[in-house]
Amino acid sequence: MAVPDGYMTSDAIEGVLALLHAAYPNFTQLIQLPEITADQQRVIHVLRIGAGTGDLNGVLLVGGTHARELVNPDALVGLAYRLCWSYEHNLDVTLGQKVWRAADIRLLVEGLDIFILPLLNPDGREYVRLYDPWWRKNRGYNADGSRGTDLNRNYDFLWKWAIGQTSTNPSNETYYGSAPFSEPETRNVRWLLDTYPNINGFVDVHSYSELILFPWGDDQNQTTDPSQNFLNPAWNGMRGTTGGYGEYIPADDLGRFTDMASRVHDAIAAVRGRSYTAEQGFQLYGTSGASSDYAYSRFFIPGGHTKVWALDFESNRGDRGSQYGFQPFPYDPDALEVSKEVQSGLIQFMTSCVCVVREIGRSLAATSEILNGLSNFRDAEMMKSDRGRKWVDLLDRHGTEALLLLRKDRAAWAAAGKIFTAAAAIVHRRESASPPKIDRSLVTQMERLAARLEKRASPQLKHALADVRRDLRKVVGKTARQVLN
Amino acid sequence: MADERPNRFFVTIIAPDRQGLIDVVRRDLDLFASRSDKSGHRIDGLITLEDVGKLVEAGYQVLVAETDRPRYRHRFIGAEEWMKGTLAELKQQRKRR
Repeated sequence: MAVPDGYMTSDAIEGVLALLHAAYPNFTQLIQLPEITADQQRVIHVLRIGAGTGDLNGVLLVGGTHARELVNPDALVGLAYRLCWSYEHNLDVTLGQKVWRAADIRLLVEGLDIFILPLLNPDGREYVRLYDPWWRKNRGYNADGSRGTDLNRNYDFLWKWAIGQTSTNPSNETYYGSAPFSEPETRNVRWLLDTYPNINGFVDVHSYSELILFPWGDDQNQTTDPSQNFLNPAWNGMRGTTGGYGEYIPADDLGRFTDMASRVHDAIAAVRGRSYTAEQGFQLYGTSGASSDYAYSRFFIPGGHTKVWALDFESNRGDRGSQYGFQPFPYDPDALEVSKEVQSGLIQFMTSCVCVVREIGRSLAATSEILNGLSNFRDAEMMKSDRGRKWVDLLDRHGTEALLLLRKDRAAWAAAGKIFTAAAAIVHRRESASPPKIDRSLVTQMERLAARLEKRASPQLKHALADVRRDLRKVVGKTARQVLN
Repeated sequence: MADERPNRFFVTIIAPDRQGLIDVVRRDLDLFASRSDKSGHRIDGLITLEDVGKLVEAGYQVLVAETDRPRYRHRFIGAEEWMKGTLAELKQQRKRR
């Protein structure tokens, strides 16, 4: 048989990560997480993949949070292998009917800092393998003698309010733990987010239902009343119920989440036509203490954390019964496609996390100060104006395609570099006594570059570039601030 | 050693409305996939017969699908076997190029 015909043991998953690192030492790193598991004192590793240098956006992909959801850790290890194999041999990645070109994978491996944690809960997986196929939690010890905490209720996001499908009863499958981050497994994830602040993309892969979920999970999203937010104690006890409260999410963030999830949907559907539903996490059921909410919420807590674009996947169909939903036959041709769907969705998600501006800047050896200054300008100033949002949106939606086009065209790449340097100087000195203005020659260079890219662009990018070209004519002679007013 | 557990059943619970779905997830049950469509508001779960009775009494419709006895016993494999299988698949793909 040409495919693995079984699920991996917890030891096997650790073993494959070590083998991959040994086989591809030039662009992988094995990171040992600081905490061992509570029951079997297992050491857990993350495979870090990246051939780029300098300041890169990071993505963290997590699987195996819930022990009984067997297919996802294997799918994540498979993704790691495919990324390494493709990059090393300059080969396409074929996932069912979907082909990711070698250039797409190269862009990810060189343009991102990828952290793959395929099995968060190895103790739980071993318990599933040996004793109880439907065990969900970890295997920690509870005060009442029962075992296990639902790791996806143990993060510090509205933890104490035990919203919706969250239990305060230690015997229950959705027990939230004795305190936020009471479990070594969740502390390991927090450590990764704290230690690598460049991580701005996060996916926690679960089963089943064929869903792509974005924040928030505690209540209905709303974009109009910022005072209704998870930090405001006036609303404590009222979240997760019907009526009265809606969790605030900035409209731009909601737009980006919706867009990202929709692209992931398309990438999954391209494998064999299964249509995963993209929706807010609360639509599944209300929760608190969930990983993706925690990862995204960190940005809103005073302390200057990175904004992390966080999703949950719920892989696999539910119409063949729950047993099949959690644990499809690993050697069943249909079930093998589930892994490919997860992998295709994650590749698309990672693609959305590559920043075209950062990539061009890095190629020019721009300093972290300059790159971070541009990021701050984007988040704090551009996102507050209609024109700024439009440009950021264009980069979010079409940046990857633009980057691939630029990489294939030396002259265009050189022109983009010159534009980057000039624009970075304008942004950097925008608060000086005499802030520089956007001159005619810079606009002409940008117009020419846009026209050059349009020739080979998709209809969507072509349309967006034409729109930018019209807009550019209005910014001649203005400072960075004036452009956004 | 395995923890002792009562016998459980895979079920689909059908709530009369969205509020019913919100209420049922607060009952401390092992519930997972939910969906709301024209046919109603449903959520799958793994629960005891006693819980089935309580839900029916509370006005939910509960469809019992099967016991929690696993339909199949999965094979678990080691790192080398997995690598061998995956490598064979990747090599086949390279040949087909």
